[in-house]
Amino acid sequence: MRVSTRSFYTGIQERILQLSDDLKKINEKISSGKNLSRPSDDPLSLIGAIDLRRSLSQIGQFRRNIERGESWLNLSESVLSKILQLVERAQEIAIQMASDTQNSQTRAVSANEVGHLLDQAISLGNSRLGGVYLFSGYRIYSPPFEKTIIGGVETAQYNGDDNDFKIMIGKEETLTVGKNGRVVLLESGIFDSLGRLKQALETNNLDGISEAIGRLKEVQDYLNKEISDVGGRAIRLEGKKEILDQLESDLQERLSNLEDADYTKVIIELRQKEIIYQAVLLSSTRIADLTILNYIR
Amino acid sequence: MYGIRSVLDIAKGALLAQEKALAVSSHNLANVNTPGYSRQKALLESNAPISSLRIKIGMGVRVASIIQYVDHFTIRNIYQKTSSYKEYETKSSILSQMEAIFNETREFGLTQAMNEFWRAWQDLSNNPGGIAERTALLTKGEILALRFNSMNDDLIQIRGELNNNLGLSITELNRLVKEIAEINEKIVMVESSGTSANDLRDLRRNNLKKLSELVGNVYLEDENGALKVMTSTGVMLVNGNHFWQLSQKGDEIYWNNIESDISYRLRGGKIGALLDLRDEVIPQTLANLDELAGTLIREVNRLHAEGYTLLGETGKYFFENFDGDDYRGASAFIKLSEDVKNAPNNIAAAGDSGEPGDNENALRILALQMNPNIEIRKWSYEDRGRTVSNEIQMTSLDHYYGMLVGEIGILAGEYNENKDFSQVLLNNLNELRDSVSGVNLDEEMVELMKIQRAHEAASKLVALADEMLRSLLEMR
Repeated sequence: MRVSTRSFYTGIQERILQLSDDLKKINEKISSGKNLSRPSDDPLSLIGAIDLRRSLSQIGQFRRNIERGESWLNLSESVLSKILQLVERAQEIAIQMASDTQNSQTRAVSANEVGHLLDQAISLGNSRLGGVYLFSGYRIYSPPFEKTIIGGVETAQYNGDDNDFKIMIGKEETLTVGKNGRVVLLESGIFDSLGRLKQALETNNLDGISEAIGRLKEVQDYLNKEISDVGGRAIRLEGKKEILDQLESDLQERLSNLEDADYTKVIIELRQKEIIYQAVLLSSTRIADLTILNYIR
Repeated sequence: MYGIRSVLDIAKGALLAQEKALAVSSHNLANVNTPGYSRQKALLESNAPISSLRIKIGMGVRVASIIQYVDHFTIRNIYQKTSSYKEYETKSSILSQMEAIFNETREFGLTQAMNEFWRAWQDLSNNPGGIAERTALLTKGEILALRFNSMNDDLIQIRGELNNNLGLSITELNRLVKEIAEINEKIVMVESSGTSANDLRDLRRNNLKKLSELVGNVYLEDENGALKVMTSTGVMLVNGNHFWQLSQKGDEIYWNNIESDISYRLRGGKIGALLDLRDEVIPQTLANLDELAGTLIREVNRLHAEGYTLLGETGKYFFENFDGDDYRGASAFIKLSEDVKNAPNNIAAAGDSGEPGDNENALRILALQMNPNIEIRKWSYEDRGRTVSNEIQMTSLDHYYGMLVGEIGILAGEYNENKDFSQVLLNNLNELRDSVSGVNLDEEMVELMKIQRAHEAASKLVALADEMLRSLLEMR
């Protein structure tokens, strides 16, 4: 084919421009460390990357939720354990005072102590986590338990509601972290039992004291059940957290496979293009020197 | 009469012919780098012989004509491919601007704003009474709305730029059309005397190539050498020395100032590309973005209005609400409602009470993010916006947006590939054209040497004839 001088030179220009463009793209990859710099680079990978990034963002959020849930459950567990200790102490007192060796005076002193135990139990029931009452149901800003006297017996009334506080720990997966105080504490009969024990001690009523021993045993069983329930939920959170950790590192790896440039590959590509570029420059100048003008005078 | 004098005539003719050939070769040499130049050649022809008794003796040489090397078939192909190359080049450059709007390869963009919006709902669900969480949610909601607003702005702005660009292209087209008509007239005039108007034809071909960059066209040449040019859909632009102009008014394009939109009939080239983008790609993208914003408003508000605020009120909207199922303009419209703006307590996180610990509605709203069964329409604009259709999809909001980004990426990729492909085709065709029409310096140099020798020989002939005449005259 005839080759015109102009198309010979424009050909050189075009090839050099094409190579410059290739080099620019490789350089972009190297400097950003990313394979994808615009949607058209690989639309399908990009959609995948968007999905992965959304999942990662969700996982991050679930972990935050779980952390909040964990502190909620941990505090609940320690509060309930402390209340359980109070009940055990009350039980000891009751057993001790049921003995014939005690008299109305010692029982009156003990009644005082049981009164303190009741106050402590109420105040523990009003425990807060970051300004939020643990056992109020949805009424998180008002203390759930308030001391009151029903039928001459000191006890506590419940001012919260019957809702449980849930958090989201996964897609369509919620977990109750804050059981309402009615279920957790009030229905155990703890306040009532302590109040009755106090009254029995004050009135030196032996039957009442031994009745209280039985009731306090039930309260202990109830609280133990609640504590193990809290523990069970904490274990579930722990497990969920491990699953999320695993999932997160899997997703991170997949995202990195989609997005991140493979340096070895890119650098080899760069070397190849460099060599081609130099070769084109060399051959172009060589051929451009070939002209009849060098031979005629 | 045959004799020494006729030898002088032959020598004179040869000198003149070689000088003409030299002029043509020099012209070629001078135009080695002129785009669109077709090399010319002086066609030499021997003069008719004269008879001297029974023998015929040749009477030397003359330049019969100066021809151009032109491959009409390839050139027609070049115009067509020029139109499609320009079309894809324009589309791919505009699409790369749109890609920047939808660039989700970095960690900002709508996806990020949406993710943060949903996370703010999560945080609120963890502490539904918290004023800090509520304020943060309002901020994230506002950022999301602003992100939609600015994407809408950017798209509208690109559309405006397209229309401006269209105006400039039409001005350029009018100029070319007028010039082609003028050249037509000159060519007819020059060629009526039997010579070929080579350089004028080069000029006209250049103009036709520029016209092809602007719009797809067809042309035919009549017996007088004048061109008739129309768009590929038959809108007449030039006929001989007549020409018709286009004008732009708003979104419409008129032919010959007749107030009826013909933009639909402009296909291919830069103008065709701008119209395709203006009337298909951009409105479709906008419609789908509006659909996403509108659906987000609808879904969030529907749940939000059912929930209870911290003050125990219900029926409040989160985003400014709108009625009906026409979502056009929703991405520009989206903003926080007057209900919640500056009033974080009015966020309805609660499901059935005004209690500060009730997070049921927050949980319901944040579940929207993962809900794969949200009804959302997918719009398509075809046939320059004459066919607008939608199909209802059941998908998640995130997925819908991902699809939107993917669509733009795929389109941009397709245009890039088509651009590269038509570029390769065009390069091949240009090489083919240049192999016929282009100037090769070495070839011309040899041609020059040939002419120079012939000229020397003819000069020698003059000297020889002169000497012979002198010897005749010196005879005594």
